[in-house]
Amino acid sequence: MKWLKIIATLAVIGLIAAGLVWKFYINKPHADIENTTPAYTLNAQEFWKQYNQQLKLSDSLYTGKVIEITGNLSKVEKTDSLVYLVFVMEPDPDFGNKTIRCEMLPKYNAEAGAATPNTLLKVKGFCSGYDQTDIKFNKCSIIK
Amino acid sequence: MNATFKSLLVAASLSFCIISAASAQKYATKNGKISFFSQTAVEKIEAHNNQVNSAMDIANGDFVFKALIRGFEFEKALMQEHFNENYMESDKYPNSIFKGKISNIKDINFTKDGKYNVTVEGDLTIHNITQKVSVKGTIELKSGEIRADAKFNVLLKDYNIKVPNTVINNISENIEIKVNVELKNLNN
Repeated sequence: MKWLKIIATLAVIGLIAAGLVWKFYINKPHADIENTTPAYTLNAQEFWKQYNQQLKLSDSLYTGKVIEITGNLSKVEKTDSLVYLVFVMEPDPDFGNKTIRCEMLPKYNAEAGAATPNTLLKVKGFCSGYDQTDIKFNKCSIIK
Repeated sequence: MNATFKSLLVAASLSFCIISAASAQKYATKNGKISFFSQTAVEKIEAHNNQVNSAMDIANGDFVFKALIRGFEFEKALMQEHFNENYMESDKYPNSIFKGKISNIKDINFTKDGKYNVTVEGDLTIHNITQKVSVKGTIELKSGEIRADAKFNVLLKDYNIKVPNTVINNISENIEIKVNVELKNLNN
């Protein structure tokens, strides 16, 4: 009887542990970028300059991190379901221009879609890196 | 106006015309989409990247794609973490690039709307390994824009992507890749 109780207790503990691993490790949620404190807050021009002058260092500092940038908005691009805020940095012969591009979280689509070019904007998002043409962000939000 | 000044003016105008003509042949996007799919009896995995750069030169058929590996988004956070850190090593190899040509570019009438079957051949670099690929797809011309779609498969072993034994049944060795880009003329 005593052994039975021990086995039953161990089985319950095992089930709880498996449930916790499933919920908090295997199915852990994506990082809440919108509510994450940015690792760095930078001016868009300065951010661009740093990536172009010291790619490896900038990659190690900024790629894969939540970054907040402030810049003069150049244009808004829209696809069927996504909105991008674009900060044009310099011309490019293959793709037209080199930019910092921010793919917005869907909840910011309306606000970003109505943003006016040539206004100063503060945007926070996950920096996925620099492909030698654009520095790209996703899951972006507009900071007020 | 002396002769030297006139010659300079003519040369400058010619250069401008040549540059304009060259960019008139170029179509590009930065909002291209690449998705990949892995299906096994145990698990179905897919990821999407909505910020793919792509450019096409309709004069010679040159076609380029560039995607940041960290730009791929998965349904599960842990999967995305493993993809970047363990399989693709995206800190070391942050980009995937395709450089190639539409081999039957002469079959496409770029002055008329329509849909054409194409074959694109070139070099695909993933995980710092470059392989020759030949992909069949379609090009659709509509209202001055070009839509390109393709679906093809890659083998993980061809790009030295190693899957640990613990999840070998969860990830397919043969990955399906879907590409969809809507290219606009760079002059517009």
